[in-house]
Amino acid sequence: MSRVLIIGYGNPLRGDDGFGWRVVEELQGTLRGGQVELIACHQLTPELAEPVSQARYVIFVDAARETVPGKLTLSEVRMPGGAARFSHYLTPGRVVEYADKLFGRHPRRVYLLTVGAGNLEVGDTLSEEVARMVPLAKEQIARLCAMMRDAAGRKVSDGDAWSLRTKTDMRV
Amino acid sequence: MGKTILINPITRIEGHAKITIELDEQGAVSDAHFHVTQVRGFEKLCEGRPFHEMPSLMARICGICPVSHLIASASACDALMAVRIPETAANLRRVLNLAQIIQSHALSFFYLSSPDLLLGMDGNPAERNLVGVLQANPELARDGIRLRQFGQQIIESLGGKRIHPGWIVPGGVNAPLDAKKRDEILAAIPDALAIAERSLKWFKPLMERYREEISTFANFPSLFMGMVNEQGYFSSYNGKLRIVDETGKIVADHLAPADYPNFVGETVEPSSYLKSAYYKPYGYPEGIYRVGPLARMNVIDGWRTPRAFEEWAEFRELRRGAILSSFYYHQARLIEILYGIERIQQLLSEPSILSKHVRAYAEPNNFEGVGCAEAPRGTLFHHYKIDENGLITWVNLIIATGHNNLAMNRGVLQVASHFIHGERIEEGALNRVEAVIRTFDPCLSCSTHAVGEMPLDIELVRADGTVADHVVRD
Repeated sequence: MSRVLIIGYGNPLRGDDGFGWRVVEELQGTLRGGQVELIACHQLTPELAEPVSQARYVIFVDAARETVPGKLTLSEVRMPGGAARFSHYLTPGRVVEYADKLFGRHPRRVYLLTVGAGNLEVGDTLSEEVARMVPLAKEQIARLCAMMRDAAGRKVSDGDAWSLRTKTDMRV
Repeated sequence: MGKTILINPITRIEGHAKITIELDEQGAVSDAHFHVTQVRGFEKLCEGRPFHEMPSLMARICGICPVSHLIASASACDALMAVRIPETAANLRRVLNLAQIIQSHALSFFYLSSPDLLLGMDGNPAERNLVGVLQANPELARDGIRLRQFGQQIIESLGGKRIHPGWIVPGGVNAPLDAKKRDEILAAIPDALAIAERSLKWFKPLMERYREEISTFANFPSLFMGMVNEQGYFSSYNGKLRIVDETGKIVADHLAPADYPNFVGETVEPSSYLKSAYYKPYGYPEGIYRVGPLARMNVIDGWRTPRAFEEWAEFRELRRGAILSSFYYHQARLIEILYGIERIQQLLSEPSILSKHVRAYAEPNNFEGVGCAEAPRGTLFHHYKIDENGLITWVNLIIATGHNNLAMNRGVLQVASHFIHGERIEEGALNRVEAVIRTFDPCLSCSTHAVGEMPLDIELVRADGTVADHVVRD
């Protein structure tokens, strides 16, 4: 399976929390080579476990409160240990764990790309410092995709059958 | 001195609420209340908006059941325009409504209530959640996720997005259904049906484990209200309302939703932001009634689909007359999921579902309009008034959870009185008090809107528990 799943999540009506959506919107039609699925959603839910289980690589995209506004951070996501104490809110790691426990499969690699949020007030535009990071985030994702390999060890970007399946929970 | 037990917040429900339980000096429960602690205020927020915006605005009341509000709101707008929408549009609205009932019931049953049903009411609270279900019975968790996904994917396919979809507009829907989407949905039906059947098969034998809960979970005589079609079968949209009593006798029938002010009264209690509805001819609070899956099982004469009909007929054998225990809401939800899947298959198999004629157009022709639909949790009314420019001047919303408020309060008192006794308060007993609320699957974000100026009762309590000040606004 040589599939890449990119999930941008957050509330597009709360300023910089819409960063994940914006990145996914702008990625549509731009990634070349490979089978890529794009999902934009308000929050991570158990329903994402199945598509995550079917992907070879997953990239989550979100805004983060804890870092410097406008700072891009890429990290690898691992399945958390121990029992979840709270089922109302899911982290990327928990979604991967659900994928593994429910469907017996999990991706080869999972990444989380975040931008430090500057403004989380009600509104549908990104702050200037975060909006500047959208092209950089897209480049980062494209570089990640270029490194990914399929089950035969070939680079995903070298595959023959290209298809871009876009499934988005797009805002109106 | 008596004691007050506070359960705050109530867990595994939609929205924010608390329960207070008063104990007398002997430690017996003397009173109990369900308090909704959030307010949404959409009845006031929408004043001044053009009426045609209302479906889109009203969908934002809720993230779980936006489609119900879309449909009831569009239906009210149809009444303002005085149009009869094309039959294909009515059927497409039904498909979307049924998809929502499926995904909402799946959420309620599998995500919110199955932890109690699978792991036990006295199970370890740290494990008595969706994660615990995932570990104890992965197939059940998978089934729940896939069923919810089935409903959500239909909503996304037809309405453009899973949460706050569009597509349903005054006069009909804004685009016809294409054959590709129809075929994709039909292809997913067999798996969804298999899950629904499996879930019922798993759940029904479990009821033996819960005899005590069945007898005490809001198990009392009340009226029941729901929507039926001309044959007396379940109708999710465009039907008439029927009310039955605890013996199953029809108290009122063929009620036009637009006439609801004649038979539905509303009142406000100072301890909650949730209005209480009651059957007006019987007065308050004697006119207590229930809506939603259990009520629908009691008011209808049958279902239009074969498997749901069989399950319903078996369900009705549980008791002579109406089924009274709210614990049976769980089973009723599973039957409605089954019906929803079968009925979507029937509707999409009609050639006319692909008709291009899906919208009626008109300017406003009435100053007042009422829309009504059966939402996952029960009957939903949207009532609008507009001025000569088509701007909203007044809104009244009666949400399913509001219809059930009196029953939920009585249920809390019944459960607390049975399971809580003075000296020792067991965690499982408190969980049961929450669990009776969960049987109703309340949607509190949907249901808390102001009726004029909101009554307020505020206590300023010192750290030692004594009251420093008390202010009341009626």
